[in-house]
Amino acid sequence: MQTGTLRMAVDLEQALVRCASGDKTALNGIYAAEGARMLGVAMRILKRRPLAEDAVQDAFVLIWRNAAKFDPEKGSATTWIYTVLRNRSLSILRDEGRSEPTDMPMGEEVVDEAETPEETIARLSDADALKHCLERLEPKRRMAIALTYVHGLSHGELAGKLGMPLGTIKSWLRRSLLTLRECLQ
Amino acid sequence: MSPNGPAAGSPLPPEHQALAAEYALGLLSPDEAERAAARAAGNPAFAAEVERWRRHFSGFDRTSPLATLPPDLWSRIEAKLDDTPAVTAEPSLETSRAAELRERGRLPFSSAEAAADSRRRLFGWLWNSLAFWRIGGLAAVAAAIAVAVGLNGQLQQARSAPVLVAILQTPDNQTAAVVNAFADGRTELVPLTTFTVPAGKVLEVWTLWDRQVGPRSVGLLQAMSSSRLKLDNLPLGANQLFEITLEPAGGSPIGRPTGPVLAIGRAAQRI
Repeated sequence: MQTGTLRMAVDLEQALVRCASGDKTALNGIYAAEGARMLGVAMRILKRRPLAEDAVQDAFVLIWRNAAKFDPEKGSATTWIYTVLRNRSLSILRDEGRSEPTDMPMGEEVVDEAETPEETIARLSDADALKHCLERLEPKRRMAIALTYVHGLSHGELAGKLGMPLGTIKSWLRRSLLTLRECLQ
Repeated sequence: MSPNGPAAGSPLPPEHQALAAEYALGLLSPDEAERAAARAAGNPAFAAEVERWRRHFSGFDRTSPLATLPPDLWSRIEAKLDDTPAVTAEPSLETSRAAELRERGRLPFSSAEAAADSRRRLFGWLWNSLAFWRIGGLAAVAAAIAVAVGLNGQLQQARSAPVLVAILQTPDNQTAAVVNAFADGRTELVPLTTFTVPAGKVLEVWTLWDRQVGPRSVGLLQAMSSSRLKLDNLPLGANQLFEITLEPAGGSPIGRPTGPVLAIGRAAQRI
């Protein structure tokens, strides 16, 4: 894993339009440009490489199938592609039930979980309003948001991780999100 | 990341702002997510709010390390694509923006479309028949996919043997690839050798059936891989030339081959 790998500059928006017209090479272009990042994102959610590879594979099939539904007027190609990937990863995660690690084969590659939410936030671009606005939140609140997005934690898992009662986590997180929104505006 | 998105004019109630954030985070149950998707479909302000949250959170995606892709992952994806053809663009996608992109990107055949229109029926892909069925009223995407899967089965026999084959050879007479054209209009490139593609270059596949018309681009490849060629609205016949040239990234800027010919061959009819 290195971040310096050369990535092909691909106009993702155009590539999706071409996928919609049945051009398989355009899908391959998206794969070449974003595949490694997408696998990284899926591994942060799913932890286990084989599941993350499945998520990426399914995501590309869904991108191909649904490319005609992408509307550049309504959103960016990047968020569309990553939304497909995250949705697929999250449903694999919830189907699999991550709290039962019993069937994990020995030696299977598992993502290094050493990076804390604070470290992830620190790695956000300085030019990104998200970074500044998260930094203005209480540490526990920004941690919750990062854990939810980056690692796909549910309300229940978040409550466990933060040592908070499940009954209050939902409204507590909503307040955090609305505070974040005020800053992002 | 415009601070004054569409929602600014018609403020969403805070509970919908938070709901949009939860939806973008992936916190909703499948039922809740479905309801949120329905709300987004009917409420542009809510849809814009969701998109704005997604765009903000997408910063997190860029903090992800790049994972090494297994060498066979693309072929695994590709193997699945044959069973799940792209859903043909809905008329609603044909916005001016899409049309502009199409133009700018010199999508295959955008210029040849008018001329080839009358031939399209003959050489149309399965996709085209899919579009026909959908526009004909069996509109649900799921239904269309089901139809496609059914058609796939029926066409399996017709598809199994190509009606035209072109063997593409390198200048030193090595066989580089085979182009197979099937009765249903599907045309595929099967690589038999690899070419070194320098950074910033792509392989471009061309076909030439009439010197008056000139060569047409039918595909761009980052590397030699099994690919479906975009011949759906071009004529196809014996003696038609196919060639692969090395072109700048994005394909030849002038719509005709500019780089060296790596492989070339003529189509022949199967007996």
